[in-house]
Amino acid sequence: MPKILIPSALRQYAEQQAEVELQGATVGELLEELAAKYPELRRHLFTAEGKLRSFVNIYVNEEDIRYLQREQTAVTAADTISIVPSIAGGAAVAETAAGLSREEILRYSRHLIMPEVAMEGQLKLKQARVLVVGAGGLGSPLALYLAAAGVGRLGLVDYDVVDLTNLQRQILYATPDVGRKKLEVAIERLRTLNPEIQVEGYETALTSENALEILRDYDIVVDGTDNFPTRYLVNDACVLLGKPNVYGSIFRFEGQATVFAMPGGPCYRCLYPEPPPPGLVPSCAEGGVLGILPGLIGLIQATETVKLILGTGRPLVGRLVLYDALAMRFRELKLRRDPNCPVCGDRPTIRALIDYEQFCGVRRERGMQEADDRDLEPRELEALMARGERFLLLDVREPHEHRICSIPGARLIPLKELPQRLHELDSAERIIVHCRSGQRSAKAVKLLREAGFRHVQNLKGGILAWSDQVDPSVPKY
Amino acid sequence: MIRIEREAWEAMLEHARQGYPEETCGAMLGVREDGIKRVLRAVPLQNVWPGSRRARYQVDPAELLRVEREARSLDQQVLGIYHSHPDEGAYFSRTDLENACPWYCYVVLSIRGGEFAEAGCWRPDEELKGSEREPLWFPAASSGESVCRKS
Repeated sequence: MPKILIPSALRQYAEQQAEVELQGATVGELLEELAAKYPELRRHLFTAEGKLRSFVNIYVNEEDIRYLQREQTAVTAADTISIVPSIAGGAAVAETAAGLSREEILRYSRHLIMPEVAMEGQLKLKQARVLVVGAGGLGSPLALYLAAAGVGRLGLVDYDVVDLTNLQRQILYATPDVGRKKLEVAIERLRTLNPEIQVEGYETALTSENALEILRDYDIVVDGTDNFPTRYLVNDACVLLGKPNVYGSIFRFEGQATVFAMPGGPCYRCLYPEPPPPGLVPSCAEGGVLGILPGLIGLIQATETVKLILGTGRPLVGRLVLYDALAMRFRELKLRRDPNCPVCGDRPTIRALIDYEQFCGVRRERGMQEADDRDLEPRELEALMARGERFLLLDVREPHEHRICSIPGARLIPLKELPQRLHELDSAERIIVHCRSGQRSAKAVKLLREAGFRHVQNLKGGILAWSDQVDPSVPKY
Repeated sequence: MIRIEREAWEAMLEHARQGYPEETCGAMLGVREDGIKRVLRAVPLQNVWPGSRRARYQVDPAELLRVEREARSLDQQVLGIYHSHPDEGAYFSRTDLENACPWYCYVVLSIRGGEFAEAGCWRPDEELKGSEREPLWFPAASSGESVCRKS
């Protein structure tokens, strides 16, 4: 029979028993049996409405039932159920909280009239300190809504400059801002939106050297980054400092969001112990992204951030929300903390920040690409064309990209079709391969050489470099 | 009434001084004898409050579960929770009351400028609407004197 351990403080209501064996198929049934057997225990565990009291946590073995199926969690004869209270407090936050000014009361009136937020919640928002890492697609809607909601101190980390290709989704920025520093524009915009809050900018890449220093001053960290080394860095720093990591990611038409690094909940490494091999997962710059998508995922992150600050609702902990824009469908995956996780597990092996570029294999890959001196410069290709030399110019982009722009005379075989269409090519002929930026064509060159093609070269920088250096009439995208 | 033995008391103070200027928290283990709670051991717990810990603390329930098991194996009970108030008095704040669990008593240690100033013990009512002071005994600072009473 499943066993329930009675906490020492409650044994006086359970005939001094330290543990009880009871019949039941779910946690809810067992607790009901327990309360029936020891009626005095009932009021300590349940409210008058029969719900578990707010400070009562139930564990099945080592897992909090909030991250399982709550009271419906199934139990077997081998399981041990423990009752553990939540305990918190502190000297003075609620009492010394500065009030709101008349302007603030008007500004936040739609919050103040909701009992779930009210003055108390608005003061919590005002005292909250939230760091947004990355002021791009996710960071834009996040920062705008958190500032509007009255989060008292917002930090932004970004070192980029506004580019025309950002404006399709990064709604912090407008057309006249192209070429300006993102942080400068973002801080201006957020201060105009809400002058009552403080906005701090960190114009730097987040690194293993500065991450702990920057994160230390914030209560909650929101991950709006677009690359694996920074994601692992944000995660590990949050776990080491004990701060929640509100995570979101986007690609093409799909996005994900969850909250990592809460006490008892999983972290990013519990979900992804190892980074993908470099180059396997394309970035948004390579694969594209529906401009609206980061708005939706960023606002899931903003919602969870505000819920954590207010301490209201059911946080997105132990659950990964998957969103598919094309099907317009949300799905949910359950996540568990991995007791063997190297950073948040029971015996962590990572106790300080590491070299995340090396961990993700990024630096090595860059080095490899730079080392190949057989690559062709756009000017050299232009010269070959001018001399009328014989070669095949192979475009390995997708057909819809080829329709945006192309180099005259190029033949289109998309990279993913290349392995099946090698017979269309002559292995004795000189082949020059290009794509948009030079990454996919580098893969094609490798594939062709392995298949026995001897005279294969990559066009450095792809059609983007061709547009910059040879033919500016070719549009960049 | 709660009586904290010297070894436990010194461990609590040391933990609170070390953690200053952040709040520290821990569990008090011991036995009940003739209606008196005797604290024999203090177990420091991590303050997992997800924000500035200068005026807030939070106990990780998973850690408390481990302490409860440890107490069980020693044939002791978790009698209460202690936490520190850096540069604030020893009082049971509204935050302390609203986030408490009424099964325990709560010892609050005031630490001013990194040194112990005063202490008090409270027991919240079952609805967490109010609290009552509980008489607290702890050893005097100089080991010459045996026990002094504070309330």
